[in-house]
Amino acid sequence: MTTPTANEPLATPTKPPASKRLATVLGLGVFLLLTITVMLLPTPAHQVDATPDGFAIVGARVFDGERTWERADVLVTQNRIEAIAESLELPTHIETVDGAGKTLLPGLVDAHVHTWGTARADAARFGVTTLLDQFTAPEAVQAARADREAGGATDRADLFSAGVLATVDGGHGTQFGVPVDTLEGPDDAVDWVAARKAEGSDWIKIVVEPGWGRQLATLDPATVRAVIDAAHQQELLAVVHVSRLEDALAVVEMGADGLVHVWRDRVPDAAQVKMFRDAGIFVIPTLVVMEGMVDPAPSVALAAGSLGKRLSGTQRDGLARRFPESARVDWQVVVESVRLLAAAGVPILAGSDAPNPSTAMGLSLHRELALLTTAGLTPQAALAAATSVPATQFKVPHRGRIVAGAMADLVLVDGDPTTDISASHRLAKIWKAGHLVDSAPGKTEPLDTNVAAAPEETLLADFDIGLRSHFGYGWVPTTDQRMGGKSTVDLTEREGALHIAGEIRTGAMFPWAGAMVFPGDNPMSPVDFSSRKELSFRARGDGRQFSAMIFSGKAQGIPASQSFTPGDDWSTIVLPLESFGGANPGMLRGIAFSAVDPPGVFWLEIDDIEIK
Amino acid sequence: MITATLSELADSDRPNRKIDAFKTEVAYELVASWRQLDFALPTVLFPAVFYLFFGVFFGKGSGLATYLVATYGAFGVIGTGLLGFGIGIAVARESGELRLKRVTPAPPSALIGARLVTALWFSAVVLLELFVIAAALGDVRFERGQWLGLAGVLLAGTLPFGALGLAIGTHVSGKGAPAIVNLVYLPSAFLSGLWIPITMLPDFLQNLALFMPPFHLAQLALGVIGMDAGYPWQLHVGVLAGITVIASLIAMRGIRR
Amino acid sequence: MHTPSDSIACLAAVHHSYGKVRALAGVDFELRRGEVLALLGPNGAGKTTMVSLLLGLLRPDTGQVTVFGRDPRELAVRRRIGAMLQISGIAPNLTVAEQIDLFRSYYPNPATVGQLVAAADLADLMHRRAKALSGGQLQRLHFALSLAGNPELLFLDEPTAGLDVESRRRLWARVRELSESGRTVLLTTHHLEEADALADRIVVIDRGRVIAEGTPAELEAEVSGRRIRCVTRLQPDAIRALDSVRLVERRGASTEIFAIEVENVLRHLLTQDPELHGLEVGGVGLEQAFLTLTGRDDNTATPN
Repeated sequence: MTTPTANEPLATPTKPPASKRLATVLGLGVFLLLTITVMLLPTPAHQVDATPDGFAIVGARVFDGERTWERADVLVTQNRIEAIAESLELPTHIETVDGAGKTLLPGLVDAHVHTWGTARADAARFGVTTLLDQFTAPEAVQAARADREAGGATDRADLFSAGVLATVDGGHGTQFGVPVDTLEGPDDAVDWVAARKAEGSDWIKIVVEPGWGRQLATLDPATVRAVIDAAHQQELLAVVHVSRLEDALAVVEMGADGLVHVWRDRVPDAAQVKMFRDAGIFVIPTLVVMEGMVDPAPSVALAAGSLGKRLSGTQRDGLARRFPESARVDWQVVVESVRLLAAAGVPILAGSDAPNPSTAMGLSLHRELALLTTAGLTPQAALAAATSVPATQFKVPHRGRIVAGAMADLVLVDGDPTTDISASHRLAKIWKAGHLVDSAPGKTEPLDTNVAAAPEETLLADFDIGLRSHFGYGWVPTTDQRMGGKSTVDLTEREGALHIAGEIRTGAMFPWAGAMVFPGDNPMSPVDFSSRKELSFRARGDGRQFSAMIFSGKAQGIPASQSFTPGDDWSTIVLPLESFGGANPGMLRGIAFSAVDPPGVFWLEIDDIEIK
Repeated sequence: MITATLSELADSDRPNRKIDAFKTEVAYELVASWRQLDFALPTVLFPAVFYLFFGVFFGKGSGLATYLVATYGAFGVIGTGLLGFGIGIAVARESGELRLKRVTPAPPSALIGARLVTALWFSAVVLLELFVIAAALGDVRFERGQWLGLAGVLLAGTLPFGALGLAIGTHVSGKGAPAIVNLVYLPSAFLSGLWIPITMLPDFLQNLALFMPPFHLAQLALGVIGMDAGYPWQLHVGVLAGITVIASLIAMRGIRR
Repeated sequence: MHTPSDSIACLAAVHHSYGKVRALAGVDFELRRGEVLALLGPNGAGKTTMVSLLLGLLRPDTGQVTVFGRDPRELAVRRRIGAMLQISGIAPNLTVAEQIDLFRSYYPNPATVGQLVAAADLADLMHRRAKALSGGQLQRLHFALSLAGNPELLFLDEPTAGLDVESRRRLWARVRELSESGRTVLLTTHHLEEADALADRIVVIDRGRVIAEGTPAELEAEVSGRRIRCVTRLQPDAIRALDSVRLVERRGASTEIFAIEVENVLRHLLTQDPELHGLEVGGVGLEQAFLTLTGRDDNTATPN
């Protein structure tokens, strides 16, 4: 047996075993393979490079409804937000909007409006892309519902609504001319709520308004409680109009979900504030409409600024209207109450109550944002109050936030409204469902096929043939009695002119009385006057201001109006059709000449009415 | 004193020698683990097979297929951590393998580090299988960031369970280790919602899950894909970090014995 | 007397207990550069405890342990030593070649693979996994691994346990070569033959104490001429009760007695058993010296 020595040359290999090299390769290889695989694994179908078209807002500061991204990219495809990230890798064919120096906000939500006429388009021009209506006619709700569900390209805000409100016969809410199904007692509650649900109401609004300055009939507590309970049973929110702290506390105890105004009589004490907080109730203060009762100047000033060019004539008229003297509010009480609620953590929602006097749809929400900051909300909290908070509280899906999958309702403003709320006025671009909204008012709407052609003749009426018109259906008296008012009017032919005499009486929210002429063969049937430029007539009157109103367009809503003040002697008045903001001469349905506020007797004579 | 030889001790190390030594340790730790089939096969196959059965055959295209990618991923990496360390260390300790290595200049940290890399390697294999099966057969789709996040969270999840395994492995015998490790592993996996969604368990068991380490890793992973139970992520990270620290301290005491 | 610079490792007044079991009770011990030292003692004498202390695997309860003048747990010490442990394991799934490669990676100046394979005669086993090796093959692998770092000081704790005679002798040859190349070797064994064959110096320990120390020749001289063999009816217990008797053993019909003062013992035996016959009195080899010194009837210490 030979024993090898340490120095003996060896046949054994001295290079490392093969297994070590294999382990090194496989060891690193698996981590590499995992990395590669993860980079190649399939992502959801809404993957960015798979989308046909879209655009991205790149490099803007983004307030997503809850928090602020100092810089982010937001990708929109069709009507939805596809993605938001600090930085997105975008396919080259995607159109980009440079957001540098700008702030992107979710489309704003106005949590308290009343929707008439062109309200939805008016709101959208101001970046308010969702309206939470607290009382309108059910037909308006049904028409808007189809639009909001389709989510198509539109210049109009989406509408969610309470529909008809819960009140008593003769109570607040019955004065506006919309037929209201009133309640007599608690036993009506279940059927009443079911009827609203069937009409398409998204929630239930209840009025508790014993009157402000004068007595008004209102629902008794048992009925209010029954309606709240019925709403909850039928899985609807119940929000309440109150104007007194004691009523607010009472409905909180009954389980109401929200208040659509802050009260205006007293500042609550700490225990009462705690009650609101603990109940989880939300409050839509509607500071702007209350400010209008004491000092409309700030809203007027806002209209004089850069936002003004977005106002239609009708909106300007609304802004110029004033509440009656009887409408009073203790501004300090209102602001202090909101400050205490906000500080306690009660959810505050921005709402304007437009189109009440001294307000304008859309514009007034920007004033409301500023007022909320004076009541102690940070600019960012005020923005949340007009975006994510109402979306959450009213359970409105896909609105009020910039997140993947949400509706592409977006507002791009210059500057930084998260630190300076007035930057919300500096609207750069507005998208509704991914569609760029036109900022100019009075955009004409497409023609109906059944619009009658305009007659050759330009003279509509000269009263040389009595009260008849030269074409169309002719003249009728029109008053606010149609809307529950008490104004009166009488039309007579006097010396070849139309003599309009009557009295404006309080009772309607927007009182009026006058004469209306229908140029079509039937009342309100549309006639295409798009080739005509102006409305001219001769007039004389008692010195008060009158309104010429044009009813036009697809929907039968609030007319576009222009004011005129004739003297005792005859004069010719020429009003360009263009000056009737929001009116559509291509679908002209009626023209009215009427007296409006203030109350009192009046007379007006008109003659030689031409559409030229 | 033998001062004469101290100069010889002055490190003749090439700068890379320690790295090369660690690479060698890792390579052989991997080779030894692959050849340990009663460890390697269940570790690599069970999560994928379970997922095929519950996620693909029962839950294809549904939320279940999506949910179970995260939870079987957690199940897999917890297995590599707990079993690789718990059983591996206990056996190596009992056989005297660790004793022999303690006489060599190899630092204990390198030995534990090599085992950790090995556990991570097995975790990577488990995730690779799961992800490919989920995408190809279960129609699961995530955003790129979610795939990356899931891989990252789960790979990192190997660490606390490796530490937990180490704590067990340094205190129990090689024979007792498999039983004890599995007694920790399997029931806590079930109670943490790793096999079936936690919401399908009775309420009292759902509450119990908060005390299960795997629950916290699973919730972090589910958080990446937006399917978590809604606890703050800081809670889960805190619990897992706490487990890592405490288990490491217990393990250090065990190693010194 | 040796100068301190000759000392490569030492224990000074070391006590060590495992719980209530005392393993070492005041051991002073010195290992000198270049020598092969055998720690000789029966099982449980404390040999492995001493090695464990020198390897830094244990800390002494009291007393000092130094290797190369340092704490044995220091990395610098571990780079210069190698050890073959009595209680040790190895990754069962790695091949011999892989184990060698792995252990070589731990040291800054490792022995070549060729040297290690040759030293432990592993050329034919390179691709075999550790779990497929026989006990003897595994011992050889451990021997190779103990040399992986090209150590100055080598600890061999029962290195030949489980080896056949041929392998044992081959390992002895390797140890001699290592010694010739200037390395210091500490060997523990309970094979007297092994200590006799390899050691420059033998330290005998028993029950946690050093009971003798010297070259094999010195130890043999210390205990020579003290064996009595006879046929007697006296019971071993009775004989053990006599003064200076260390060991009594029945071998077939005869009884072997090891004693320090043979004359007194003979006097007693003859008085108490008049029929005593077949009397032989003789000297003992190192084997007997060891048994005498440790006072044990340790069969494993008896060469076959």
